[in-house]
Amino acid sequence: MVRARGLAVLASATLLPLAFACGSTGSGGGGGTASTCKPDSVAAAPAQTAAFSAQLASVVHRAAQTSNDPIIKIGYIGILSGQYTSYGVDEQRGAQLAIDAANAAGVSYNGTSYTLQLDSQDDAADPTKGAQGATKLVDDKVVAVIGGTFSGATIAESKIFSDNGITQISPSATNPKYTSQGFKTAFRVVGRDDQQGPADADFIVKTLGCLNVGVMDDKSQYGQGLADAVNTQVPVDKGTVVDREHVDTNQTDFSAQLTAMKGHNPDVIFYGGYSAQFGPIVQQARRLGIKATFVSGDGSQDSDAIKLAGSDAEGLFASNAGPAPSLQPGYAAFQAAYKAKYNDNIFQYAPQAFDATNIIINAIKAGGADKAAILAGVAATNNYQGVAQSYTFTSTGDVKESIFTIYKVESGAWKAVKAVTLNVS
Amino acid sequence: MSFLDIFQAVLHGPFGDFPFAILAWQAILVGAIYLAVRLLRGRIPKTAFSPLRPVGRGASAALRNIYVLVAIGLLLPLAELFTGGYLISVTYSIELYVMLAIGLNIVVGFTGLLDLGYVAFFAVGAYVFGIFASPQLADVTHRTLYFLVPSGPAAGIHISMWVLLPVAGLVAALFGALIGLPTLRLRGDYLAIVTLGFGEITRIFANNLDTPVNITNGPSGVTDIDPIWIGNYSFGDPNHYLGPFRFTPFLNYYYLVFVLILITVFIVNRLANSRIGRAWGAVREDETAAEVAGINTRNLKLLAYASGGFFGGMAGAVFAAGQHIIAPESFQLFVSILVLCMVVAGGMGSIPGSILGAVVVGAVYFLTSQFQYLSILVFGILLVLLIIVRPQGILPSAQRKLELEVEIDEASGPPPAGETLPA
Amino acid sequence: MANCLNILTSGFTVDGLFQQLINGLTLGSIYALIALGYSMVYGVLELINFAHGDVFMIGTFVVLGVVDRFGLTDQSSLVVVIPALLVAMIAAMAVCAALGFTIEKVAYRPLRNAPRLAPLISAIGVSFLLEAWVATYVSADYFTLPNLIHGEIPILPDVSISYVQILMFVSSIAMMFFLQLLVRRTRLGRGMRAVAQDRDAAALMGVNMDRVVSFTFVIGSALAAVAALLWTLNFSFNQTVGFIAGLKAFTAAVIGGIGNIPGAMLGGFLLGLAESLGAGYISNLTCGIFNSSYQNVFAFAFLILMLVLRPSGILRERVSERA
Repeated sequence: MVRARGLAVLASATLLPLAFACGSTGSGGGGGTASTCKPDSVAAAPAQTAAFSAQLASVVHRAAQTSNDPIIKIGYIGILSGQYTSYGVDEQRGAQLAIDAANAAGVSYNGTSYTLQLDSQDDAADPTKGAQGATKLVDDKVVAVIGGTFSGATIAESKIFSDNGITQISPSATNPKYTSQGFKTAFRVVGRDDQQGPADADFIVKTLGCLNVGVMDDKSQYGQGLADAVNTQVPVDKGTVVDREHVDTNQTDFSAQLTAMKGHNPDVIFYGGYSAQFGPIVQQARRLGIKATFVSGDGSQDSDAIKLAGSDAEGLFASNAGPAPSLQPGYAAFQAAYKAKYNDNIFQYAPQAFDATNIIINAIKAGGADKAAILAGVAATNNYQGVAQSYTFTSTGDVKESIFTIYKVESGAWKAVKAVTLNVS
Repeated sequence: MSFLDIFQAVLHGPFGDFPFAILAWQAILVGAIYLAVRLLRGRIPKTAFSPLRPVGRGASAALRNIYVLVAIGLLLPLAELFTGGYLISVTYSIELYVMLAIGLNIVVGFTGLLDLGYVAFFAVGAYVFGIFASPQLADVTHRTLYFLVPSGPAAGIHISMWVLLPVAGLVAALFGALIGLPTLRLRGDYLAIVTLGFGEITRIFANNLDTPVNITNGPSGVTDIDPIWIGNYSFGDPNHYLGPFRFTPFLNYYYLVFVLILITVFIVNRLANSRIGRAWGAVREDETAAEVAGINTRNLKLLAYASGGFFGGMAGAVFAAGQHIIAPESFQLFVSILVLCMVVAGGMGSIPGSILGAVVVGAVYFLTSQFQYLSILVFGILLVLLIIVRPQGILPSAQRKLELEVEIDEASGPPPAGETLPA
Repeated sequence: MANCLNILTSGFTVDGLFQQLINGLTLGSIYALIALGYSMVYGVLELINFAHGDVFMIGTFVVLGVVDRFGLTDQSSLVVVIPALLVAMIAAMAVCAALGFTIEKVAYRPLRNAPRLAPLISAIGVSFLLEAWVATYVSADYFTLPNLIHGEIPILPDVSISYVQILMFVSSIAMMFFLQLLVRRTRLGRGMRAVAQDRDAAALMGVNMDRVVSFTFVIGSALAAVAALLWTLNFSFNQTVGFIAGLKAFTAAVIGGIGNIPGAMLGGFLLGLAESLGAGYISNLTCGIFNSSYQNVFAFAFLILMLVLRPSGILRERVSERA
């Protein structure tokens, strides 16, 4: 279900100046010759600080202004309850920060000044609940929506928003189906699983030089999709998928699948799924004596994975959609504002949610509170420079420049090691 | 500060976030409520708690009039149109559960089979509709039946609703009979676990049947499911208008399910009042005695599963059409248990009871869904309280009420003088 | 076809087989411990205590709390770890026993003479309650403990049993013997056996039904607490772990013969093995048609097969005939 169908992807793996030494020209040899698989030789890049306007910092210090301006509502729908709450709340906060910043600076169109408001609904990653929440947002007359968080509910909500002409920008839905349904109102500011998967596969085979790959997934829509993409790409890169295992999202004991995987002797195990399973999988694998390197996708690139894996977290790799924080121009300022308001660290996609909200706000400033005008404005976004990266939308609603970053756990934290930029034509 | 926020704050207590502290506060609350109940028990006249009479038997005039109920059902969503589409979407979801509750009532209420896997029928119906009314099988059919089925965007099997809805129901009924076969000789509790197992197995299969032949598309589910069409009227089209009001797709499907419920209630009522219904009752009361009396318990149990499956399957089919995508995650065990709660709370064995139970429990569940776990917590407490204090449910059938009350009272002595059992 | 033959043996090693066996036995020993609780309660009351798995879950969170309090990390030496774990075990046993006692008193005792459906539904309600309570007031996240007990004993070149696994296995066997002792040598144990045989006759002989039932729940819950400690040492958990573990434990009890203590043990081990071997080798055996995600299906399939072919379990159930 995750294929680069009919899409001309110019995979220009833009290797930004990162320090990594890996003597990896994959030899096609079999066993006996020295393995080219050297995961430890890939190290984190030194952080780059870049200049960015301090507009964010001012948000914190501006006192709350009460005003009688007419209100424009922007909707947020995402995971606000359940075990994946961290993802949704993080994005909601990003959106709220954008709205606060805009209100502080003033939003006006055609001489009228407006106040923006965020209307939040919970979809708990459930399509039915998402549909109801979306209906509520329609009732509340929002002009645009940021959301959903996970692809399943996002796809269910997209029809309702499309039916009502409401622009929807998702900060984190990576399933290709979301934008291939033909809805004019569906946008996203991150890349897709059918791009992330090949990026991961390329990293494993070409950068790490590891040819024997075991692929594992949690049989969820996201996890299997990503794992399938890796599964397809590894042989294309002249690697071998030695084993494919599946677990269940409710599973807590993985010894059977891990032991089976161990029998195939993979150098690297790729796991498509979320950190709630990834962490324990790594922990149990090490206990079983599995020495393979673990790589995962953006569902695991968060602090929960490190917490759950405990002491076995060192040396884990995971990819994430979006540039590395150290390479996001506005990250430092955004992080400071986030920390000041919420007394918490950014979890994952808050910068993307922030940028998506600002894209909408810019459309409002250009076209007012009219849904059709906002849709046109958002679709016409061209090289908008946000906190995370620069955005231009394609005709299907995807972002032209998909950036993925591979991270490694070093000293108990995720550090960026490689960036992959895909330019979609 | 909404009522729910207050409720949540009260449960949380003033002692901070440490779990044991919260537990201590809640224990204090429970103690206080218990004391209050003990104190008030003697002071409030018994008639204040007299049970709701079953419909048709000395019930209030309004409730007795089924036309009034139907009218409420028809007009309520139109009234909700004034408040926007959200309430309608909730009402629609509740309505689907009403249908499920009526179906489960046949199995649990009439026949006494504790089925914890009812969601399997819902899933089967949904998938049958989804697979045959979407591009899902396009690859497979195009390769085998290329001369009949085109390729391209409209590929796949798109069977009309008139055929597919009953077929979905029948497939689910067949599935029910198949599930029922190994369970025929099982005791009540074992039956519960086994049916639970079948429910989970169904979901796991739905999640995994994308290899070697892609039937259910695995965890991504079936997408692009056709909406229901009657002639030229598409139920999924959001642009129908009634005067100045927009007929949202949810409203369309609501009326469809309403009609289905009317048909269901009619059929189930006829079944309940027939020889079959009485035989089901006999199986529920005492299977051995029923067997000895010449009733074919095996066929009756299978028929109960099949009937329950039929209505559950049809509900599933409409669900698939309405949501236009279905995925295994919509068919979790929790749905089975929720429907069971509805049937138990409303009154096992009573059709109006099931409907009322579904409406009440469904309303509480969907309207408090922002406090997801808190609402489940309240459900747990209510379920326990309900089954202890009033096991016959809110609106019991006269028969069940008799049987459950009498059995429980047996343990605590003869009925007080002056209270006669209903005739 | 040739592809099928390839798949049949791909990845198969003798070491792997041994490892799966060890995995299965250790997992099975935890199922066995939980199954003992189910088994005993069913023998005495003929009730499936759905909430038992959730008592186990509460035990895991108590252990987490204690380990957290002690500030254990995977660097902590055994000198600190062992006493901490002992404290955790005692705390968990106390909490679970109290919880089991309360649940029985509040949710099941009033329904002692009600039709069978009623306590079952009550049990489901309690199960909901516990899970939702933990999710609301503790956390809905997953948790793992750090690696507290290190080290393993190599058996074959590539196979080793870790000390934790040995601990699991030994503990459950030990608990079973202890339980047998309890049931055979104490008064309350005799009462349990009497009630399991014939409830009314036992009442006539002066057995205090309430006391016996409470005792059964307390012991069963304490065993679940031990299982909880062992579980946390190796696996992850959140508030939903009790449900599936409980279901499988009940399956184990049925397989071995409900009401039968050695039966519960045997059932636990068998189920653990079936799951491990099944999940490990199913794709080999079915040409890749079924994959290891079908793990739970095996447990249920095993159960259904047992119930159809041999409903009384392998070692025969010990339940009284309900009048």
